[in-house]
Amino acid sequence: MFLSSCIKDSPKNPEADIVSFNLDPKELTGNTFIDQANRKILLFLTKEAYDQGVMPTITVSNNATVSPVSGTKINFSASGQVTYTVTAERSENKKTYVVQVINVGDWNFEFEKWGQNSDDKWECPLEDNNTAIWSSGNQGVAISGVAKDPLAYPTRSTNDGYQGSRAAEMVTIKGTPLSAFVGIYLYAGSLFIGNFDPSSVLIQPLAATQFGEPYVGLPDRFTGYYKYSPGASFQDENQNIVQGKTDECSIYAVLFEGTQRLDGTNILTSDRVVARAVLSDGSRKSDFTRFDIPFTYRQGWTPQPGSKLMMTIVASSSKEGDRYRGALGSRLLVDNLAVIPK
Amino acid sequence: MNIHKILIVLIILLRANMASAQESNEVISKKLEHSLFIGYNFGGLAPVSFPENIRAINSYSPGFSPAIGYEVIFRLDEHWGIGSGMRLDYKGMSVRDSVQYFHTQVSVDDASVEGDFSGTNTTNVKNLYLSLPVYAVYQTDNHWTIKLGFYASRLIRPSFSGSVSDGYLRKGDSLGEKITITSATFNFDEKQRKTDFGLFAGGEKMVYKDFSVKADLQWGLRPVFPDSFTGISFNMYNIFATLGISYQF
Repeated sequence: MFLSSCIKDSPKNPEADIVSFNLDPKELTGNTFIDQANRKILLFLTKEAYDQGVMPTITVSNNATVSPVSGTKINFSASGQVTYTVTAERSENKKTYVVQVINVGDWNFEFEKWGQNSDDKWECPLEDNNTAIWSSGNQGVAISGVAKDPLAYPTRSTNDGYQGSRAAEMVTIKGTPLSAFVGIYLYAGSLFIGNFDPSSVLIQPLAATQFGEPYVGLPDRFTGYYKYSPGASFQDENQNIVQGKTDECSIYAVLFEGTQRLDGTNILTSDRVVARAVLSDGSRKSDFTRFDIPFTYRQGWTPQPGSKLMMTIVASSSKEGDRYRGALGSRLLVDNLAVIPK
Repeated sequence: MNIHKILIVLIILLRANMASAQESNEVISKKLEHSLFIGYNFGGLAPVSFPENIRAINSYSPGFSPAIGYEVIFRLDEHWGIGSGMRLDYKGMSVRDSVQYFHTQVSVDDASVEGDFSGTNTTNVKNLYLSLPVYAVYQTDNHWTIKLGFYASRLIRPSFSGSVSDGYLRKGDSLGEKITITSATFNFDEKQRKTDFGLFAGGEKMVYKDFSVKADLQWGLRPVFPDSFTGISFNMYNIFATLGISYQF
């Protein structure tokens, strides 16, 4: 009673999130993703929706306000960038979100252009128009408090690319003293097409990797170049060295139905998966090695008219890195990844 | 140092005192009053003013927080004297509270994460301090003794840990992205200062033969964590009361 009498009035809400950004599902080729870390709203629109503009229903943090208000029509063709500003109940707190319409036109990735997160300094591949189609586990690693240096993260760019260009480099690194608190002793480098949702990273890390972007047509083959050197000793999720086991890399592409992304918990098991192309040889490759893998379709599957498909590509320096197993120092380079349509 | 060693030191000190008392002249010996006490500590590591980020105290318990000590009072005249001694105190608490937008930065070695936490916080403290109080004594005619002074302490066994749960962290500050936390533990044992000092006050009444009941207050004036520590966004002080009995010999 003595203590409760000391409790002061509730502080004003300082939070200024766009919590949801809803459009008519008919307008979407893929579900909208709110990239809270980079303050972006990523839209995947049909051509009609893009041409005609959309009228989103927006919810924000309690007692915050948003401008333009929910229900305002926004057009993309006219004046370039669309932004939303959220003002918290504690009104000095404001956050601006940029709307980006993502369109993966050409499924051919050369990893020549990279961006850097302004706060935490991790790198991420960018498309020519500066949109990000690729994500990695770097954002999760940032939460465990690594040094703010691109090379401290497991996924980054390298100049050691195929034919001398830049490429994506993934290295399996040691966890941090803080990640050890939650039982994580190793981070594999990873790169995937899709988005990273940090909200669940501590409670269900596999759900943080949201795989897939809309895909139009049907894929025939998955091709690219890779180079791999496994680390010296393989360790399990509790840091025990597993004698005689050599780390392997993992590279695969998955086509699936619907507009909702799959994640690390179900990308291998979902019955929405339609076709897969999986690299079978994850062993050491001292030089850049080309792969060309045909997509294997689910038996009896035929595309339904008007059905929507999504595609992801996933690469990791440790095949079991999603379970925090692998060898420290395992290094995978990928370059010139492409999905060849039928 | 473990408790046994400290007890031995206390006993040796005590015997040395008794011996010296015996050797010295009658006058001084009559002026010295020795007592031993045991007691129980209630209190907490608390901010002097509650920050608005603490929304509710869901539970509080002092835990098992015994105190034991030796006191000696040098009588200056019929009423006045000066006192000192040595005491061992467990200063502990278990508290479970609800916090909102609680700014914290947790660093372990070279890894550091900073943000605003909203959710449930559980803190368990059980620090063992060895203290030296120095105080003025006033004795009334009806067997009351009142003490007022200072104490200095050495933290000899730190224990400050807990967990955050059922909430979320905003990375960086309240505008950062939300990271759901169902449970994460923390341990700030070694982040605490090794020394403490503060105000000492006490009251004692002789109730039966050489036995007294007593109550002491130790009010820390030095934050338990140094300024360089950023895990908790407000200063906490050792504020503890002791209830106990003492035996004079």
